[in-house]
Amino acid sequence: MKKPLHSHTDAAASESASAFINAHASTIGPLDPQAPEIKLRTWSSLRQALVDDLEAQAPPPWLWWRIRLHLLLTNNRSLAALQAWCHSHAWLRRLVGSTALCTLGLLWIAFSAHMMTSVRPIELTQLLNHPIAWSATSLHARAGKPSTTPSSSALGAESLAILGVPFFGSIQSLDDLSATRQAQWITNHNGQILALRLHD
Amino acid sequence: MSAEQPAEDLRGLALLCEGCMQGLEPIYRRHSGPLYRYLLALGASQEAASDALQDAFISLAQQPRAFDPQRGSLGGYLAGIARHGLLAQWRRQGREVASEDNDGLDHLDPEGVGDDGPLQTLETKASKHALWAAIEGLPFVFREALLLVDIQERSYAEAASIAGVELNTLRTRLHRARLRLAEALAPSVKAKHLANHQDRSSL
Repeated sequence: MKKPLHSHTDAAASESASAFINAHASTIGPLDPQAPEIKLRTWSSLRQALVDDLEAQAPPPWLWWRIRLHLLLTNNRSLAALQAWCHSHAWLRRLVGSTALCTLGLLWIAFSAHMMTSVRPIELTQLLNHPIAWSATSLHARAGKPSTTPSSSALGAESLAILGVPFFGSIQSLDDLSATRQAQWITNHNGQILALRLHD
Repeated sequence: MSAEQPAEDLRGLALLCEGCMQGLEPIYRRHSGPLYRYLLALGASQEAASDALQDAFISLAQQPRAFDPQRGSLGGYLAGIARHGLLAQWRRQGREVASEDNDGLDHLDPEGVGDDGPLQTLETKASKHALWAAIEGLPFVFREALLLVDIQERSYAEAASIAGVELNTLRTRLHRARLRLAEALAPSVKAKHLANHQDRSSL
């Protein structure tokens, strides 16, 4: 009896090659004493051998990280574009950075020079709202001292001087300059007194 | 067609739909191996298979809502994308991929070829390597049908979905693939059954 190999109208969508092959095993007939062994040895065993061959294959371990990296870069297009731009314009990035640093330095020099020539630091320290006085106030407040003492003012000026050491020179304070009045002054590198305050 | 999706896939998809890329990892762990093996069996090199696999998972991560659970399994959906990516690679490389279903075997009688041919051939001649060689020698569309249904044991519907063809087309391809396989494993069978066919025609 011949059995159709395949029928498009067959509802059994799960027809497999083993069915295909084994159907033909039946055509050999039960008279063949080796028919069951033939069935076992044919398609199923060969198919299993093929599957075993394939199972030995696995995607490379780095593939997962490549996918993650790709997604990261794709999802952050602006970041990726900026990184790519920076990589391709490294010289411009260095130029901009150097220019910004030089400009900041020049501004600080100009500010220091202005402070030393046109502003009297000691007097500034007496203004409680001024940053110089504020720094002194906060320091002395932590030390448990009154914030409006002359020494605190001098400390405020000193803190400013520390920031601009090369330009401010030094600030000195003497409690008893004339034995009767407390004095504070600030000098430049040459020892010239830039500001002087005598307390009543 | 409705397909029941594993809970792990559904959880991963839900995370991806919320924009959380962590959902891709369980899906990758579950499906990357079978997909990779499917691509290799189609004839892809390891590099090409890796690239196609990457395309499939990136596509899913970027457009998780494009997958419709009612239309098939997630594995089938990913296999379809990977297959498409692999074919695109091959086209870019100028590799010819037979897309026609006509394999020149129309003269073979489906009922006659298999009487004892495939079984005897497999029994007497076929080894694993010979079978591999025969499968690799099949035209792409037939090899694909054979791999999807006979090797990977996917359902006809899922295989048709992956191959992007109608169910009947897939059945035809599978049938022809089996005939081609039998013919490749036993070249003499063709001549024998051609003779039988001519005898029957003359009667």
